[in-house]
Amino acid sequence: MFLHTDVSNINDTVLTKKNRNSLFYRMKKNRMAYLYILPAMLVVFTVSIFPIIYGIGLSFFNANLYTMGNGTVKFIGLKNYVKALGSIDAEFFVVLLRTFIWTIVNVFAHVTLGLIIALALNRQNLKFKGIYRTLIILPWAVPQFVTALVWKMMYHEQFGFFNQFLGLLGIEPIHWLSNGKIAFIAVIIVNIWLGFPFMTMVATGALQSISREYYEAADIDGATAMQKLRYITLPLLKPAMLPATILGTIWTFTNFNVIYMVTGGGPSKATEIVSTYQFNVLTRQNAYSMAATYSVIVSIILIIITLINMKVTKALSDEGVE
Amino acid sequence: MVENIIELKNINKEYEGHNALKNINLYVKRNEFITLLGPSGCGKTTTLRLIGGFESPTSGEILFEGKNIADLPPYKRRVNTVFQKYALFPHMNVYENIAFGLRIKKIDEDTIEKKVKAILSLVNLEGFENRYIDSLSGGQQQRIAIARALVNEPEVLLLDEPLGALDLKLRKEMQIELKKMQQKLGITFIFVTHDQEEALTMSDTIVVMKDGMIQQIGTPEDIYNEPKNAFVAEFIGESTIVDGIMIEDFLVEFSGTSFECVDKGFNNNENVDVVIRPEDIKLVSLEEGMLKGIVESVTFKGVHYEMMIKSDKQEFKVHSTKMEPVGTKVGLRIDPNDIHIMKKVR
Repeated sequence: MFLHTDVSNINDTVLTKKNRNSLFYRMKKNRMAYLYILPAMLVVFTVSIFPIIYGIGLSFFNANLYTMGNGTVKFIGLKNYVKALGSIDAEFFVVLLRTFIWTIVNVFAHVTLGLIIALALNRQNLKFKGIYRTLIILPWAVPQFVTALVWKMMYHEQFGFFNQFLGLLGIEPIHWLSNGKIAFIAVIIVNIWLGFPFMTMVATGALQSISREYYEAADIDGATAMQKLRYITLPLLKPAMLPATILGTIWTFTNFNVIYMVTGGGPSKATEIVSTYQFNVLTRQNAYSMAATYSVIVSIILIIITLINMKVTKALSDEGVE
Repeated sequence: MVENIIELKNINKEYEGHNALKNINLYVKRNEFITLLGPSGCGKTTTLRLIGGFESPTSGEILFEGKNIADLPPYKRRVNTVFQKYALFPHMNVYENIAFGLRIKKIDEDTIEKKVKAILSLVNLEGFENRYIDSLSGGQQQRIAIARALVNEPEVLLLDEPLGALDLKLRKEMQIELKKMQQKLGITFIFVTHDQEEALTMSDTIVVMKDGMIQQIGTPEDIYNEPKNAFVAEFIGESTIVDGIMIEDFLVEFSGTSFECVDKGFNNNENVDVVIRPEDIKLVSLEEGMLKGIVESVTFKGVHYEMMIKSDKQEFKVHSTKMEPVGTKVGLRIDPNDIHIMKKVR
């Protein structure tokens, strides 16, 4: 009898505990709090969560200008994915490969250049440090499309700065934007110019937070400047630089402005990367579902890259510095 | 063997027109525990940094066993530093932190391992080799910082307020432990602190500094019992400082009363500062008192009561195990030995 009562009590306790942990119970209990965040939640849902769900949903339909016009939009399962990834020589794969090259070269250059400049500007006795640091931020502070258009003008075959300058030295003009390979290098240069200030700022901030005592401790041991860089500066920059690199990878992979403004993906699609390719699929072919499919694929790729990065480098974890 | 391991001769240090150190002359004996004591901005850390090689003097000489080392880089001095915030590398474990200096010096791995193990045993942290710095308590971090400095076998260890970040109980334990460690190792410790109690507990010699100048050098007993000026008296321990007139040798007047004292060599009727420690004023009956006063406030301090007693416009701080209630009229007695006369500097 006692045993029975005890067990039922325990069950009651378990149930109550379970109920208390349920979302519904917590919402009911903290009703006012949930009411306060409701407007913000609605905005987030409308501008962020709903478009993601809608985009993912759209990739399973055959929505384009034609089917939407005559009301024949229908569910087609994974057909769009098969079309995008089905054939290895498909145009999308070339674009995807180019996007990887674009991202790796850019991010590598951003981080390296950003670090070198931050280290150079971090020297204790350097005068006018503030002015240099402000100048370094300028490319980042100016709207991307303005910078991109200025670079496009500088690349102009006849009147652009580069060819004019080369002409002064008696060198033949370079087909900056009309030769596919050179155009790709040209847009990469523009994006490096645009992207390194961010890494410089992150590295500068992180460098300033490294205590001078670490270097003095190394001085006592007779460490050289290179040893201090290798054993102290770079490991201590890691916790700041790794998340910045992940962020830089995502920004660069999905960059649209630079290529769209400078080359428009040309010549002959030679500088097309995923975002501009998607844009063309959407605006020229009006293939909405196909464009949504590419978005989902890009998102999955970026999530995988980020997860691998975080796993390998332990960035964003508590042991990030170890 | 030179008795003085370190000598600072006429050291001046200027920072952008500001004199951080003014004509410092200091002799540090071999195997001594010497403390640089003073308030913030007195120049104690600058002095330590000059000895460590992190700064160069504007003028003057720093001698190590008689040789000028003022221009030598830190790693060429047989001196090591324990930093205020320890400066342990957060991305390395305990072993790597201690081994860092030895690795830079390209010492072979077997020797490094032996040395690291031995030094960890000295600081009672065996088995901590693989722990990361942020998993250690403040006290443990401090021991690792000491271990990292000692593993390089310096002849002089510089400690820049190393106990500042520890809680009171741990600080007291570490004070005793540091002193033991110094005696066991038989090396010279130069310790910087602003905590007078810390200085009195650990030091063989205390150097009291203020505004970039040395105020007094002496044993803890000397500094406490015979402060050279009102600043030292005020900074080391508690005291009441009153204006007095040195009537003649061994006789001083303050609070309207003449007192016998043990000081001489002042001009007759010279204005002086009279310093009296609160524990040196005895509460007696009104008839027996050399001064009479009224108890203005009483605070219980655990071991004793602290009472403020007003006598002839002058307040005296008195420490006594016997409590007199506020408003009581009491007599005060001060023995000649307990009256310290100082030249007026204010």
